[in-house]
Amino acid sequence: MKTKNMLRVAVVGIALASMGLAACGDDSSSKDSSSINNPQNEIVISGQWIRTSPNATTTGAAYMTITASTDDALIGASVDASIAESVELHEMVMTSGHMGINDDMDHSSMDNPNMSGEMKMQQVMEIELPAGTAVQLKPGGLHIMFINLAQPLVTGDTIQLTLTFRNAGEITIDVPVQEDAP
Amino acid sequence: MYVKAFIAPISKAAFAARSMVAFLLAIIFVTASACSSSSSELIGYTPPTEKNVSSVSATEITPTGEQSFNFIAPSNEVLIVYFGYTNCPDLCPTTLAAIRNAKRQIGEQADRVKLAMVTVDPERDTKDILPSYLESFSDQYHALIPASEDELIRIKDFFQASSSITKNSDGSVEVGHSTTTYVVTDAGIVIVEWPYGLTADDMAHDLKILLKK
Repeated sequence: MKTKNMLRVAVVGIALASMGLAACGDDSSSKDSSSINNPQNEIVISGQWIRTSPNATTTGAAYMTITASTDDALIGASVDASIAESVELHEMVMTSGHMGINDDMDHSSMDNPNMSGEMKMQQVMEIELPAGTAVQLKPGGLHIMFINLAQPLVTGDTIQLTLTFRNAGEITIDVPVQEDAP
Repeated sequence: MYVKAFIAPISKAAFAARSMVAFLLAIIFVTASACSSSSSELIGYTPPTEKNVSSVSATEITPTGEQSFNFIAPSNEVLIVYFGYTNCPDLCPTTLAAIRNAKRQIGEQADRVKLAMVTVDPERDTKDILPSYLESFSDQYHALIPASEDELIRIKDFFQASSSITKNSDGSVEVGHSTTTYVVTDAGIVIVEWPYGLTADDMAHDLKILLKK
């Protein structure tokens, strides 16, 4: 009986583990990931999205995760002029104090009184992509900024965004416009 | 000897049983207290000294013109106050979207949550711009456009917020601003502050607690 029970636990365990693995598999083969493959370097882009533009704003931002198989750098981005006048790579920097929550911070209770730090956006000329490292462009950090939108970015639309890499060259990807991160 | 021999095995077993019960009770207690702390304590930061913002006023843009606005929530409601600007591509829409999503999570109670945004870029965020921008995030908002630099400074001082504007020679404008969101009670007290990056789930958690009071 004991052995039977243990076997049952093992079977359930294996079933759960394989479900977990299957879920991981789904993530990595996500249909919205884009990649370019050549013998020298492979760039994998996943989770790309552009935030729906609020009324009356002139700017927008695109986010994604980029992984390069060999050392590379994102050195530029562009969209059709019918979308925005120009596109730049930006990062948010702290000019004073403490920004807020970062991924490593346990925020189960907020006890940091120094929360009125000032954040500023600044242009970066390139975003380094060390080999094998998933570099995240995400809210509050690195992002691709659309300047002087020619039209609102509407939920459900898909925008073609061309990314220029130092070594891998140009890659054009489809980026969905949505209210929140995927 | 007999008694000793008799008691020893029983007390060993009883001790083991008691230890097991104590261990289980400890687990239940720890789990229960963890649950209670996550359900009844605010996740945001609570200012250690009372921050009363009721006496500072701001210029509010309404469909019919301008009026003076005081940072006090209507009775039994809360007022969320954010400092930002409409040409902000990243932090402002991220925070305002989280607030919108938190309101969606709390259902009908969302009617008791008002949103006020103070633009830190009043030169560009004019009366035609800011109300329209806020409509994207809330159907109940207060568009606050300081009428003067002094007014903006006074409001920021009360909240301990900060901002700066740099005009570059190429015509571009750089705006820096603090990223905290403030939740104000119907007495005009900042009851909790949400740092940048707090999730909609955490905001909804705090709103539920505040709206119960």
